[in-house]
Amino acid sequence: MIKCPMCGFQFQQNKKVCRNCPMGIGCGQICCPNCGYNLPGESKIISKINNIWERIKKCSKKN
Amino acid sequence: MNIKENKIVLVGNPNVGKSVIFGLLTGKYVTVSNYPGTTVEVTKGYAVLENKKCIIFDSPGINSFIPQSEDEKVTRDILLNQKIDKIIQVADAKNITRTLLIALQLAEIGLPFVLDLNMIDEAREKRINIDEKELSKKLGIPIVSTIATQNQGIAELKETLKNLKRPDYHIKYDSLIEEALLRVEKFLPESQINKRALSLMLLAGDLSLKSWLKENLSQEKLKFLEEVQEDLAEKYIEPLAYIINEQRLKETENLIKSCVKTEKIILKNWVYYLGRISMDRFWGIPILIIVLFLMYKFVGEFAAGAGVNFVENTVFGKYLNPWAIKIVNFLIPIPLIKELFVGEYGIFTMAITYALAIVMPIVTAFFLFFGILEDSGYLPRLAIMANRFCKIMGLNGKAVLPLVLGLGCDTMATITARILETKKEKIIVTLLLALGIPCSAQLGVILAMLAKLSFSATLLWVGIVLAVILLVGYLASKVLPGKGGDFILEIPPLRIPKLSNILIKTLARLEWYLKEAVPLFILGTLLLFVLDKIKMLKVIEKMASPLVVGFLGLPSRASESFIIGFLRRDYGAAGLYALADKGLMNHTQIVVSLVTITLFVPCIAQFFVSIKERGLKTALLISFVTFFLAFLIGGLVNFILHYLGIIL
Repeated sequence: MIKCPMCGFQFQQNKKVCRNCPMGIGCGQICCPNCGYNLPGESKIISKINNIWERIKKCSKKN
Repeated sequence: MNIKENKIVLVGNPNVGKSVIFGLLTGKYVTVSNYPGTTVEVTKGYAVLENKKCIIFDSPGINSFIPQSEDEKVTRDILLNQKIDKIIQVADAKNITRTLLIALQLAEIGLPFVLDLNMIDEAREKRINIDEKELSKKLGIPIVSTIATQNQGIAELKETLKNLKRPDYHIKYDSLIEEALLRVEKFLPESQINKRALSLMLLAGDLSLKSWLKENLSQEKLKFLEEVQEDLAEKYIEPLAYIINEQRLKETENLIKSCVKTEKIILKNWVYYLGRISMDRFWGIPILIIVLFLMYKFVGEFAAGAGVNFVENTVFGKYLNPWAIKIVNFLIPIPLIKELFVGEYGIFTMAITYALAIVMPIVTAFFLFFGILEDSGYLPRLAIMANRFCKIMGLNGKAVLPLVLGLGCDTMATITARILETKKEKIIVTLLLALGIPCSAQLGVILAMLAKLSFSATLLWVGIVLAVILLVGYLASKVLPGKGGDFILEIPPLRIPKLSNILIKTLARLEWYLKEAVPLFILGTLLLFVLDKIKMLKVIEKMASPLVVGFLGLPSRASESFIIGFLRRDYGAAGLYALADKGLMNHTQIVVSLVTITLFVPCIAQFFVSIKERGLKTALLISFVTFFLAFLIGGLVNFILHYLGIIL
């Protein structure tokens, strides 16, 4: 669940909402369905670092 | 098994778990299709309840039954046209105010319905205790609690569907509205929706009902209904939709008072008191000034001074640019291609250097500061302060939100203007965004340039920009029919921001910024490169000379900044920053150039979004007005400063 820092509305990221947006799905922002405030989507760099970290953890467990 | 199919629709705010409940009721056999005449998708599935085959619709999320978006219109139209037998209102138990606002409207609509308080576990965790029995008694409808993600309460929900009755709950509106309702109800055709609810939609100015009414009523009756609506609207200062919503909100508050108990543990420390006074009419202003001053110091002086100096002069000036030149000279023998990469208007020496060496350190600092404001809970307080400022202009409520969001990104804020009710409000907010609300990147570069100036010059820039916004907003509000509806903001407690949150958000915002800005920086540079090579740049500079040099009093090279400013205002500002950095502009020229570029057309993305949202004609008109006012006011500032002999 994401809580909008502007209006306090709690919501889940929903790509359906983006279909009617002129920016399209790939803008990398998450819009609050209540007030339109946009938050940055997940950082790709951080998610890649997380993935690598997870792999390292798995490898170390195997060993 | 009975052949007759029951039609059940799931209704509720966005993101309350409707789709999960829908999946649990229908299983996997569903069809997804666009609702006739729209691009809105409606999911339809089948289930067997009480030995009857049922069609279940998953309607788009709504915040009101007076539609303000295509999604909301589709949900209302399903109830109006689909011969619905029963409704399941799926609600987020944590957002009880929004839940009850919808429940009250459904009660008015009069179709049998059950209120499903979903995510009840999260509400309990937050110590929100809903007296379901009392609420059920008051509203006259059954209430079920579910945790859809754990399949809890679904069997009870199915059981409750067996014995649904039409609700009999009416809000008593004020006497003027009640009188008008009686007059309107008589003339309305029979429909699935209760006549009282239809009348309320009509009185609230629901334009989307018109086509349905035209099909079902004579011209005479239609005219009479419009007259009643207009007569009533004249008796109130605020729009009727706002008045009706206010009275529903009061009813909701009364229900909450008697049926919901929220245990709040408030730690009354210094942060609590700071949070309270930051919204105060008097103390809120000095706190806002302190916040803006700190932002100016951090972004304008620290990041633009030490940060840019290090990245531009040391990292790029001493290492990256000389290396890039060496590599290009070694690899590419053709002089034209060499210049394309590392020449005066080279992709590396101009586009990449501007983007990474000038704008990025400034924008990073701005995003860090913005992240602190966001994570500390100051942003809603900023919206409250801005609301007071906007009231001076005559704008109100919802209009504030896109203007505050414009400080992040004007393009996204233009889309947010959708939440406004009237077309005129949308146009005015789009105009104000295009004209005077600098986006994060541009604001960063502006703060950096201001840091080079005296305090009086900074005040002059702030004063001029504020005066222009106030004047345009005030003039625009004069053509507005009344005030917009207030917006519900949940004010969180002020808290100490978490460093990890701020860093993660800053990194994500930087990624987004670079992805969006760098291609346009490269495109702008290519444009200048081509214009230079075909000898058109000098011709344009010469043609623009009466305006840029004569009227604005700027060096002729400033024309280049305005050309690339068409693609992105922050790129234009970065061009002016580079001119100021090289000592090619004095303080008066810096102020004039800053005023002009602040009021300049925002960026090509915002222009395209404006076309999509407001139409080509309006978008072109807004761009023309913005362009004209930017140069006019810039020129006037130059003229007045010179005429009065003021040296900044």
